[in-house]
Amino acid sequence: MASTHALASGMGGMRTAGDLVARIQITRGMRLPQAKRYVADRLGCSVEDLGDPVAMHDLRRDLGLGRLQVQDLTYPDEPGAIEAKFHIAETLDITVNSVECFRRHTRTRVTV
Amino acid sequence: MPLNYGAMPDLGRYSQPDGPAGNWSQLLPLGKIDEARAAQEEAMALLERDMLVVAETMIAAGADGLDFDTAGAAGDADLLATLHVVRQVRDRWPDIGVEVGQAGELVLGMHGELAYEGRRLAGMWPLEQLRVVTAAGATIYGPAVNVNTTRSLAWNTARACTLVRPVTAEATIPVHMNAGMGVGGVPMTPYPPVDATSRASRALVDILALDGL
Repeated sequence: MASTHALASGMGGMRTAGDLVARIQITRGMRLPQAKRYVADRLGCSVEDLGDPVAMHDLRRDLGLGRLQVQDLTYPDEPGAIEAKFHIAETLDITVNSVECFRRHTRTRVTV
Repeated sequence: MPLNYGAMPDLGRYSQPDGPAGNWSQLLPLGKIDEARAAQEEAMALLERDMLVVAETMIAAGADGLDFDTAGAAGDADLLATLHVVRQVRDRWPDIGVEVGQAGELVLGMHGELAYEGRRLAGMWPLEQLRVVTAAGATIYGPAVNVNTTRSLAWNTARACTLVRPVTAEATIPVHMNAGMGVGGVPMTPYPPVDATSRASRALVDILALDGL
C-alpha cells in the first residue's frame, strides 16, 4: 500500500529530491510549495527538476547527497549513508540529528 | 532518507488490567464519572513521562524526528497528553521535528472537560485539531478520517476530502493526511487493492493540496 501511494502521488524519494523536501517539511514546518522552492534554491535547480529522476541523479552526485543505484550496482567512490547526510545538512542548512550524534561520538580527544 | 521514530501514545494501556490506573471504559457505564476522569488524569501523567523518556532516548540514538501517531485514540485525555509532550519536546529539542497524526476525525470526550490553551478537546473536528496541534509546536499535522465500511470508495473519499478541505486551506504547517487500511478513503483491509488506494491517494492530493501522505 505504501508503494501504491508512492507511485500514485509521491515525488520519488531518493530517486529525485523527495527525501530532501521531506526533511525541510518536518524540520522547518514548511508547506510543500515553500519546501520545494527552498530545496530548489539550495540545490541551484528549478522546482520542476526536483521531481526529475534524470536531472536529480546527476545533481545528487555532484553535491554528494547520496543516490539510489540506477546504472551501476554500487557507487563506492561516492558519499553514502552518514557521509551523504553531512552534505545534506550543509547543502540544505539544516541540523540533522544523526549527523550531530556522529560528530559527538567521533570528536577527537586530545590528551596532554 | 529521514529516519523518524513513530509510536502510539496509547493512553488506554495505562488502565487496568494492563496498567495501574482505573479503567474508565468500565467506570463510565457505571455512572462513576468523577472516578473515570480521575483515572484518565492519572494515566495521562504516566503516559507523558514515558513518552518523554522514549523521545529522549530516540533522539540521543540519532532519530531525525518523532511521529506521535493515532493521537487521541483513547479520547481527549490521550490527545492532551500528546500535546503536552509535543510542547516539551519542541522546547527542549528545537531542531527535532514532530508529527502528530490523529486517530479519527472526531476527538471523543471520554473525559469531556480537558482543554489545551483554553480550547476544549472533546468534540474537535480536523480543523480545530489542526489549531491545537499547531499551537503545541508540531511541525506536521496528520488528519485521519475513518472509513465507513458499508459505503463505497467514492463516498468515503468524498467524505474525507470534505472534512479535511478546511484544514489545508488554513494550515501553516505541512498536512500529511493518514490514508490507508480504513482511513482516508482507503478500504479497510490489510492489503487494499491498488486501484482503490491509488484513486483515494490522487483524490486526496489533487483536491486537498496536501503536503504529503
